[in-house]
Amino acid sequence: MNIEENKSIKEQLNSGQIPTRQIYEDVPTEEIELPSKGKYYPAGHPLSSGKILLRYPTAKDEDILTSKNLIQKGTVIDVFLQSIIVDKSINLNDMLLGDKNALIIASRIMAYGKDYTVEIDCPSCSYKNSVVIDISQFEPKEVENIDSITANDFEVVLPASKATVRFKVLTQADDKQADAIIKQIKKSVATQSSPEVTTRLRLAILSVNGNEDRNEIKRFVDTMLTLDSKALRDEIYKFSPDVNMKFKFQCEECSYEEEMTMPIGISFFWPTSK
Amino acid sequence: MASRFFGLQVNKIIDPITGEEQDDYSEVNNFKKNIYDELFTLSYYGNGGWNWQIAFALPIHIRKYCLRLLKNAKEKEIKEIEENNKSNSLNKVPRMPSSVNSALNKSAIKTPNFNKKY
Repeated sequence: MNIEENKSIKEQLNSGQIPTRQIYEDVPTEEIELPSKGKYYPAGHPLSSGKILLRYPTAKDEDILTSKNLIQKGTVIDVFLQSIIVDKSINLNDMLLGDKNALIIASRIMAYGKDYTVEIDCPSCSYKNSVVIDISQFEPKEVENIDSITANDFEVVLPASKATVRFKVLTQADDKQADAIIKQIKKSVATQSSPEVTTRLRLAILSVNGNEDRNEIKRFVDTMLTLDSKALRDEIYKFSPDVNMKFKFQCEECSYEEEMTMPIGISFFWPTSK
Repeated sequence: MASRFFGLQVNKIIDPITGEEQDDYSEVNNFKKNIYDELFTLSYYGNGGWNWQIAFALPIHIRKYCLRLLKNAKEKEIKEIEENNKSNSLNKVPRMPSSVNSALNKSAIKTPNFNKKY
């Protein structure tokens, strides 16, 4: 194929003359309700409606899910979700982690159905159970007075220091930033402890006693008492919208019962691989 | 804080020669092969109803549904062909006319005696 022919195909694709392009656009869609109900996003933001339109995944999207390059980079799920979101003005980085979890569950149902088969070792007798989890039964976690929330901005007075802390619920962008900071810390400082909690708290806090200086916030988090840290984390959890991924596990061998959080393994998005 | 999905990760295997841990993509490759097998089946056995591009752009659940219908249709076709072949082969067995059969039974026709010496 010469350059001219290549150019012509590109032009045809761009102008929508090639029918396959039309086919992709005609794929059916589904409206998904976000656990945050859109209350955490500013007015006018495409997610502020609390709903998001997803296109049913096709073989094109399965190509994304099996891309070695994306798996190695750790971005495979993000690229997959971005591909099936109909409104291309929506940036996944703006999305709360809980809302993203809801999209992951919804897209799995739309692609391979509600039944997710997973192997779980019984905590009591170690018997390997093959469990089929109906992921369509998962409900959004209840957030108190969610309808009265107007922005991703909350306030709490900590029990020990009596400091007034303004905080937000982390978005995908914050989470990525936290991962990068943690990686950097682990690289530069030979530390036994994991900086996971303090890094995420630092990013979640907007101000301490009205002071928005990032260095002050860092200092505050580093010297925070456990009692305050726990209270702040509880408060953040209370306001974090999410999907409740708990299910009732019963061992086939010893009948041991426990409420577990759904483990996510390879077969979640590659269901026939095992 | 909200639960975090740690992304899709492949299994790890130990290289038997170097002893180093490395990613095992065999399951991903099998999964990919299955997808292309399905696309090929639809476009090759679909009697012109599908081409590769259309099959590629089908939502996964519709593709699986169509494959199931195609499989059922093909199984029915094979069954019909087998039954047809069976009944045709039965028809082709050479038979005596019924009059000859009844005459033979009544011994109306005598068989020649080749032992007789003239």
